Amino acid sequence: MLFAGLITTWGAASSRWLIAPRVLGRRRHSVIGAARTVGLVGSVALLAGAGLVFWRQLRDFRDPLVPWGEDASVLLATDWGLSWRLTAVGALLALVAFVFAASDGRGSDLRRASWIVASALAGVMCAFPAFTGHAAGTEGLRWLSIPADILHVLAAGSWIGGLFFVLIAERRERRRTGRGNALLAEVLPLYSQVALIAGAVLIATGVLASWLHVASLDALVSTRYGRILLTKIGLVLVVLILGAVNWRVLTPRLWGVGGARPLRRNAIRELTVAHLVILVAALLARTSPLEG
Amino acid sequence: MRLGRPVAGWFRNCAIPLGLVLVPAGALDDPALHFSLSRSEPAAEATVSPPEELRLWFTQAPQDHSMSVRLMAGDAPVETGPPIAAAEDDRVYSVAVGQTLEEGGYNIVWRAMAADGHVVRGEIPFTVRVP
Repeated sequence: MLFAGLITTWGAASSRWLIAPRVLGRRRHSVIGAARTVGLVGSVALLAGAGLVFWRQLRDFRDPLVPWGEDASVLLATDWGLSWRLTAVGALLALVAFVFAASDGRGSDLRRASWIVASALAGVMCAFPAFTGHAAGTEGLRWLSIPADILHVLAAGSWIGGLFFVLIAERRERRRTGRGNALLAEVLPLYSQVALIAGAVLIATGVLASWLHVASLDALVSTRYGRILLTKIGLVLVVLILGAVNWRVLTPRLWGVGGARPLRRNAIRELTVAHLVILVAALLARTSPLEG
Repeated sequence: MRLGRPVAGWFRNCAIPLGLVLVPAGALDDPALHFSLSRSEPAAEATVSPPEELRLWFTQAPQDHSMSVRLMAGDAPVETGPPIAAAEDDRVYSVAVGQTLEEGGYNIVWRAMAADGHVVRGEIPFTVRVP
């Protein structure tokens, strides 16, 4: 849930700044409203995810000979605890900022500034997995693994969180006007540009992380970490194929028979499989590359 | 469908920088990239005279405050000092044993959190024999 929250929150921020400003006319306000909704959903998921992650870590960290409270305060004093505290506070502040953020991109300076604060927090929080996960454990190569891991999460957010944003924006437009085709026709080419770059970064940083954490090709099948990684790669390929079908096949047919429905359905499939990828990524983060 | 140009563009813009990053990364393969216990004194399953301290060597430094070392005689904990990192190497921890151990079986039960957040635990059984 934490990963899903990070990705969704950053998806809202990147869509707000990379896609919404290029949407023309009144539709831009609706699109910014969709980004705010995605940001609110992401921040709530992030807060809930942070709570669950802390509980899980405390259970792992548990020393049965000392009280729970003592274990919790020791855990909070570690580097992991510091990163967690920053993320939990960041998630709370991001939620408040998204609540205050102008839903149409206008309003008072405070409401416009809230967008900047929420986006900055969303970006900074994407560093949490890097500082508490395998990237931080690659001693001697942290200069490479930590920036790559942060980029990996940011790219995932721009792609998958961005897709969630597109679906929410289309739904809002459909409710308002009865049709979502015109919005999709305008937003999808903009999203595709972002998703293409994000996809390339995601693959590059994913290959790099695999290279760093998997000792050999043989370890891909002989270790639990390798097998989970292969599952993730398989699911990512499915997401890539679904995304390519959306981009190259279904988007050009937007004004054909069936309208936006086939594209919408396929995008929901892509989002569903992408969330499976997030689930597997969370499992991967919990698995030591040394486990047999 | 015209996939040729985007694919060629992706290759030019991404594959070449990726290669530039991956080649040196592969060359820097390090066997100690992840946290684990490398050795201890007393060693696992060793028979030793009563030790004054326990020492544990790890492949990486654990996170500050996360190290816990308990000496157990059966189910009962034996009083020891706190785990202290060696001044010259933060991958080495020592624990002072506050008393002379009697003959018998003991177990060092340790727990630490690696830099990657994994909580790693282990047990080191050993036997004390008074000469």
